[in-house]
Amino acid sequence: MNAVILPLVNGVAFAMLMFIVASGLTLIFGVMRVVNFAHGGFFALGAFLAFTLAAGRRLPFLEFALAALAAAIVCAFLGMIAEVLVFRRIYHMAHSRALLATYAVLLILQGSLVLFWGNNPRSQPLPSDFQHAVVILGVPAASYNLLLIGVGVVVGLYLWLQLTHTSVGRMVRAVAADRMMSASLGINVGLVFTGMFGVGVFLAGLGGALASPLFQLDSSLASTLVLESFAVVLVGGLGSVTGALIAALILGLLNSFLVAYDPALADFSLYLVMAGVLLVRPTGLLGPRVLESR
Amino acid sequence: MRHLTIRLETVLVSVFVIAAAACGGSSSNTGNAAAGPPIKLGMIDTLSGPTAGVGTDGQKGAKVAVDEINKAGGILGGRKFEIVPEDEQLSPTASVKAVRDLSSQSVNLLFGFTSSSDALAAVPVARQLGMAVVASHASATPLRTTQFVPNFAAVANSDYLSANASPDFLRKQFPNIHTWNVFSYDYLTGHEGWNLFKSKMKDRDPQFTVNKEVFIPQTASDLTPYITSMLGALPADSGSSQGVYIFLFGAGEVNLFKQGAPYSLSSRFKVILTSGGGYEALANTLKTDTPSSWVGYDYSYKGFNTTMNKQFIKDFEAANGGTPPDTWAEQSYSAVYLYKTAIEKAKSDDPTKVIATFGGLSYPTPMGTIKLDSKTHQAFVPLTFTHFEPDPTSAQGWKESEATVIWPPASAAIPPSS
Repeated sequence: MNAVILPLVNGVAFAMLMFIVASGLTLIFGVMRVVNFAHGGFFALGAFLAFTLAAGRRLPFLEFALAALAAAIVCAFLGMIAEVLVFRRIYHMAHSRALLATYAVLLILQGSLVLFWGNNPRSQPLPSDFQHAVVILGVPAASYNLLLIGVGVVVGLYLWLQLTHTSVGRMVRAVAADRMMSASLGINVGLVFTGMFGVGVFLAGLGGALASPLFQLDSSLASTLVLESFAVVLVGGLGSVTGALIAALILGLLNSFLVAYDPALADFSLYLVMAGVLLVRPTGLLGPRVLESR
Repeated sequence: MRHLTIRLETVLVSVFVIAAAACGGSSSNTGNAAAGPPIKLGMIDTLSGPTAGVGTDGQKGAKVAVDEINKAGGILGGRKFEIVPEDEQLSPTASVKAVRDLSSQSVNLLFGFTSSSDALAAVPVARQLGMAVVASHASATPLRTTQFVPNFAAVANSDYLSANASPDFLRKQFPNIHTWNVFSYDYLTGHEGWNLFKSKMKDRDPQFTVNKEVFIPQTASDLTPYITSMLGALPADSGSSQGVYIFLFGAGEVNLFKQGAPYSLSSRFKVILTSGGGYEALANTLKTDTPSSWVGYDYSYKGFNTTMNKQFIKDFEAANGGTPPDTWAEQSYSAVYLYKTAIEKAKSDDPTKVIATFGGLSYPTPMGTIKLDSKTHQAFVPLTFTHFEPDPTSAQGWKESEATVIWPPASAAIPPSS
């Protein structure tokens, strides 16, 4: 039982963290068609802001949750400013130039982390009510991992409901499908772009804040989880939130079980799955059937 | 108006002249024109990224040494030392570029290197360019053996020396612990260090056994699968009967303890021994979450009662807001003093002449006078085992409760040649 439950809980928990971050990335790509390299910078910013708002202290869960939420909101606000100042100018550019611009924003964010928090690493303790393991079928599982699974499920459900059952969601999907037609129908495309960029960055910030008790906080955090998140987006299909969820679960569980049963393969699992899926289905599991030629 | 302009110019020129004179008179980094230009030491160390603490702390230690030497009159008749830092970036490519950049600036006396892989790439290039390299931190044995080049010397402990000293300490301190586990990065130094540890432990303890080996990719961010893999292999009584050897550093080591905390990872071992420097940085990060653990590495400020150590601690604390020096700082500090000794012996800062002094050179350090091995240029340094534990009553949240210094036998100073 130990050999199944532990990798299962760990795998799903890490998958949910990847999903939260990757869903923001895939939303931004789905609507604005921009591969946002700065996403990792906002992830790290969320973690540092949560640390600062929590004053680096061990807080009860509710207070930590408020700090995490506030950190994500600040990230969203900064993301919307970045959208207006930088990203809006690159939507019409070739992907290569847009990539360079988003990379520049990443470097600015990383530099800002060093400027405001210095080079010395920081650590945010786990919330006081989630410090220990809980026993599931006789196996101890980290309670914070169970919390991550819960948050991931809530985020996934909320995004699904918003995108498929609300007028705002319909508007977003319309803009994602055809900007010009949406604009001609009276939809404020610029506002949708700014809003969705804010939502995407909010998710990056939330992921960072939730990850802050698990990782050392330093400027390299901007590259932590980002490779995995890009892999999730590619495997799941660019622009597909459901695809991101499925891909995150596949990659998270595969890595967790491989470490338990064949550690030598674990390091390659991410790349093996990516290569396999992209060979068979270049647009990802739930991506569009035909790649845009733009 | 014209009169006023001339007076303003006069005032500006006067201010400039006075400022220039003041700078020339007081700066420790400016060469004495009569004595000659400053002697520049290139420092290639990780100044950014997850191991930035190694380089930044090292830089602080080197600065203390340079300030001490310059304040005491410099070397070679009054010439001053000057540090030229370059970011190693934890990348062999960046390290090689840093070597070339420094060479193009005629900075030919180098020290530093957090990563042995970076040093292994950069040292041969430095040799081609006629530069001297003193490894402050890199500990891999191949640098001293199979890939040794004569322009290289090491003030840092080698894995071989560490592996010799650790079993001696453990047998003395924990004679009843015979079963060991390992968490290590899945890289050259990690495998080499663990294999040497096993080999030396077998020599000293006939009952020595290995329970579980967990090697973690350096790029892994989620360590929980590795932690639970270890936990799954531990017997119920491991907390009183087994030890764990940890060969991680930087973010990986912090993340291991952070992600292992919900599973009470540290309490599942009777002894935690980590073999990496800069544990103070880890403790400063984790504060009261610092696990009760032993750290075996070159230096602890508590371990040595020498005059030089007292002066080093005093100067370092004065320059760094009361923070005592860590291993990284001491290693860079000692590297600067090694160069001072070598340059004085060579009576020149010509790298070829400086390199020629490395074999058998004795130089002062806070740990006492240390000698470089005549063949491998490895410093015969001790290993200091320091016990760290959480301390909620202190401002920093942790304390170093005791330190034990182990000097390896003289035979251990020379690693095997292959």
